[in-house]
Amino acid sequence: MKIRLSQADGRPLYVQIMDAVRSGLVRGSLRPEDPLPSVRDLSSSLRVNPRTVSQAYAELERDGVVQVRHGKGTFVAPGVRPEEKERPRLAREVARRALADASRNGLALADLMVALREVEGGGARGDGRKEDGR
Amino acid sequence: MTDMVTAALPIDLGSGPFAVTTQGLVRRFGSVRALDGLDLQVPEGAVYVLVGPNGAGKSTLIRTLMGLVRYEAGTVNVLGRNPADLGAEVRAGIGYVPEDYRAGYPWMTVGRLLEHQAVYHPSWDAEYARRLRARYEIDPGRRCHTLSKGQSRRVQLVLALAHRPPLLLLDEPTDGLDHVVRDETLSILSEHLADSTTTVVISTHRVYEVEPLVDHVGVLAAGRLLGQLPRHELHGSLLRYWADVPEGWRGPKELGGRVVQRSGAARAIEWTVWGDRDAVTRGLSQAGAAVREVAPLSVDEAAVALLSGKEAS
Amino acid sequence: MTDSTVGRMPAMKDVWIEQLCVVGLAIRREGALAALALALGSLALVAFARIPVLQAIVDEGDVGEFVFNPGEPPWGFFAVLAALLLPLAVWKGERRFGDTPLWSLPVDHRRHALLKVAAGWVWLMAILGTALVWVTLTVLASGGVLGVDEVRLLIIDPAGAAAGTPGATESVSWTTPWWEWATPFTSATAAYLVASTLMLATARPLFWAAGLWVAGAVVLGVGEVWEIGWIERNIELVAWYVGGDSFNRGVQLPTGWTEGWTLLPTMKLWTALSAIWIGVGLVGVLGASRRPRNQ
Repeated sequence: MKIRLSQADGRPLYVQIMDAVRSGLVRGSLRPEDPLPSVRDLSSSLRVNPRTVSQAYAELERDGVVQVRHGKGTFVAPGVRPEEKERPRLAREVARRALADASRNGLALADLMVALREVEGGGARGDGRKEDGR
Repeated sequence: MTDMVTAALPIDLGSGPFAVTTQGLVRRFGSVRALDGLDLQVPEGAVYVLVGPNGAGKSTLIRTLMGLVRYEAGTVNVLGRNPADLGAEVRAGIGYVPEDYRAGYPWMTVGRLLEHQAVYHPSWDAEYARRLRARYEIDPGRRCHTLSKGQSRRVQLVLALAHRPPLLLLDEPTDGLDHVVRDETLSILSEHLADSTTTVVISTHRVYEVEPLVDHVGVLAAGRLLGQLPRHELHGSLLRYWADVPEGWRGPKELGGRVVQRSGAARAIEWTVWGDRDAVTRGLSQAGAAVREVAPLSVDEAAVALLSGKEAS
Repeated sequence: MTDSTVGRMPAMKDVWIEQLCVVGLAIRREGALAALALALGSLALVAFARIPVLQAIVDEGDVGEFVFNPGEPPWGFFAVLAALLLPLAVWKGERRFGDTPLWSLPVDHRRHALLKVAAGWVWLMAILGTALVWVTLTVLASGGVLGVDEVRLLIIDPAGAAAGTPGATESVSWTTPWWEWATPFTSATAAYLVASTLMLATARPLFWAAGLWVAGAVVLGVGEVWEIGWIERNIELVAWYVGGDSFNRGVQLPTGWTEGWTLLPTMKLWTALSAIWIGVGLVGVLGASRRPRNQ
């Protein structure tokens, strides 16, 4: 499981860790019954307070995403259905950030929708080239 | 427009239990009040960062907690004891990285210095000390006077951590460390926190270096706390608001929060406000501002906002 | 807060042993230099006493006996000099008025300072004992004699002695008493304690030592110029105690100049001076150890 934390990201670190687990599930790099790194190892590799990791795992357990098995560690819950729950949830989170970004730049939802379709359909490729200076 | 606004965030952390408290702590050096009625509260098990500019009194405070300096007024309680009376007992429970980076005696080898520390701390974990030494690439045969500042800091960190004390007092622990060693130190501290029950007080004027470890923040200036609170409260209630405003806009009288800092150009403002997010947003909107974005501050940014109280527009 | 949350204290016995070890390490280099000087000196002594060619250079054929008298210079003087310099080595690298290394350890500051002084004293006694044994062996190896057995001329009245008045001088038979072997240890102890007081009480001990030296010289000068008897007398006593031969001087007799003694030291005198000076040193060290180690 690859996790990157960002201080610039406004969300608390434990939320970032939770989202990283969710996105692993959606992408398929994490599957039911997979072990998660121990609190000690993950906090050490992320250079964060172990309590932050514990908090993220505890919240994920409350959401039914992971299971803490005493003496064995933390595992992805066997019954987790990423397509049903995690995918829409993650999508909402991404949408929320995109909207906030748009609002900061003075754009409305409609502007964003139009631009999203254009970019998706390749309409913005020309602009991209210009920006690259080619 | 750039205004200077004095501000004070909450400094009461409730009823504890606390590993360290001071009440009305005063220490003068001549006519200078290094500590000016300081009310410190470090909850048990917290990783408390003490932020402040050079000369704010951070080192004086930490040395007072160690029982190394006298104080003129107030009370101090460290691990249930007053360090002025029971300095030895208090120091037995503390892993201390001093501001002064010279470790041990110049003529002593690093290996002998570690043995020396082990004698004084019966809880010394020799295996842990050996592992830390290996991770920090410390050569036990070197004499202390030949160590660079960064090497000396690493030795001091091993001396402080290897007896797994209930309280760590780290005065500028990352001072003199290069990027790689600093990163290694954060990893070591993370593991230490996972393995040992300990309270940590880190004093620094470069909080971004230790920010991911921190769960409590105290901002110190001129011997007083400007704020002392859990990090999640800081994160949730000290927010920066960007808004578009009509020309000549003066701002509302009542905002439902305390303005820490404000700046802005003619038609755009950037306010840092302590208060409830919804209430402040409502207050700004009702006064005619169109709030574009609300974002939390990093501990570092929060400290800068509190300490400077102003920002270039 | 429960006691279990406070770190464990070191046993005082362990701290004492560790201080003995650390002080031993701190003075290692200085000790090695002193041992080297002593070894070379004694080697030379034995060589000049035993090898005929070298004997000829010194005595021109007149082979004298080497007499080792512990009550005479330079033995006591060297012991006191070593004791005065030792605290500089004992406290080497220690920030006596700083945070570390000694003061951030979990031992009461005052007790810790006294333990370190005591550890230095143990080493001082060990060094002096070793040196005394070494010198004794050297003297025996060079065919010398330990202690003196002689007749000393005691000057009771210097003016009368010059005029040849009967009873102004007295011939006394003198054998080195046992306690003269102990005098270097007691005077060195007193000197070590006084020097340690300066180390513990002042940030610049050498400056203060120089100041005391100057003050002593001024008092001495005043005593000599105005011939203040009690000052001269006391200076004489101090000089004897630190290993000088201040009771021993040339005297004018009707028959010519000879060596005479103004006073033959007694055990009582030694005990009294030791009590005074070691007492002064102890009071000094105990007082100086109270000084806060930080501002």
